[in-house]
Amino acid sequence: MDILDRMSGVIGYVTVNADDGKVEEVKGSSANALSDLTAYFSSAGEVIRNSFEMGTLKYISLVYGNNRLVIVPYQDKYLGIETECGHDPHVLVQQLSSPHYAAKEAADVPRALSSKMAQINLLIKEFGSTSDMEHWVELLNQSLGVLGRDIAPFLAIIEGSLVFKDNPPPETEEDFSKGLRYVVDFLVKKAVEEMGSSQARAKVQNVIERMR
Amino acid sequence: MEKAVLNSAAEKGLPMPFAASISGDALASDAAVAYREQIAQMALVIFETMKALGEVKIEKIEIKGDRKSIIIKLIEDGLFGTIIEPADDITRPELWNLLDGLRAKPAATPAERRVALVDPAVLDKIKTILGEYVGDFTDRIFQNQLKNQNIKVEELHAEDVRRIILALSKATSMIVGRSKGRELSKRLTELVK
Repeated sequence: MDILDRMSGVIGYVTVNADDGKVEEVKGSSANALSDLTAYFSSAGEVIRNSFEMGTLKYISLVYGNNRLVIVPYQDKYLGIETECGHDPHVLVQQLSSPHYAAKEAADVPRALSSKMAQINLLIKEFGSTSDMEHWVELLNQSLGVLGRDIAPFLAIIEGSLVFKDNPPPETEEDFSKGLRYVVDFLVKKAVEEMGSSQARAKVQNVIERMR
Repeated sequence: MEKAVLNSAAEKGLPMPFAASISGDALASDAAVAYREQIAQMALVIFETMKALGEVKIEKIEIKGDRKSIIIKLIEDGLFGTIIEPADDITRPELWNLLDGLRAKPAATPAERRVALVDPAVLDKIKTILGEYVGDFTDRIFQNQLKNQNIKVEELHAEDVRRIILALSKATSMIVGRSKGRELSKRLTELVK
């Protein structure tokens, strides 16, 4: 579902097989149990739809805390898409079929943010080069979920690289920069834990050289 | 909640209001009386589903079909909502506001059932212990989880404390590993016992 990777405000999403409830794909930086929520509530929603003779199911929307999960039937699957709760589920469903999103390019963000983003991408490549790239992308997702709450809806990881889907509001640039700094700190801390301080330091040094 | 409250909400613009308690009692306004049995069944399905999911506190549900839709607000001991027929493309915000009005009725929350508030100082103690596990990330993680869980510090309930402990333990697991997350959960649970 590449379209969801690029869609504004999407924090994370899952696809669940409509026949057996099996989870097929989980992406993004959500800190919530999207797979379970989607699998259980798609099934509950179908029971309710039948009982009330509601016609074709368009979506099920759940609001919890500051987030919203929109469950949408899609071909032979259910998509469970998490956004912030202010996102209108009707608009989200409409966007799913919009060619604009299918062709959307990454946003051109201010230099302070783009350089932080470049630093994160280089760190991921550097740390992942000797071990497992997927592991480092997963750690990046986790750190965005836990440390980057406000910035996560504006970001996506596409083909292993962090990109901005949209420009953050100008007044939040400093907060975003701070959020990305936390992510950098987390990745470096993990590298020290996993590969020892001297190897981690050498890799961080390589990134600094490449950023000059 | 009384049926008269639901009928009054219908007069104000909620198309087919209903309510159900977690114990299985369903109440329908006159406009929704034909659906009383389905409402009881729906409440059962929703409460069972939420029980299976455990930690997530769902506050609102909307099920949108092309013929009808249903919007629901969940409270501690039940739910209330309305059936909308025919379904609008976009659910009018005033319908959610009218549901909020139902929630505010004194009959819905008798004084003796109101949940006592917890001293917010417990959050400082929680944060101090969290700091032992996540160090420099403490403030960020703590604030993010308060926001994620929509917890109002000035109106803190025991349920909120339970949720923040779960959320912080989960976040800690992601940052420093599962065993540390479990250890934190155990310490924080002991703290608030």
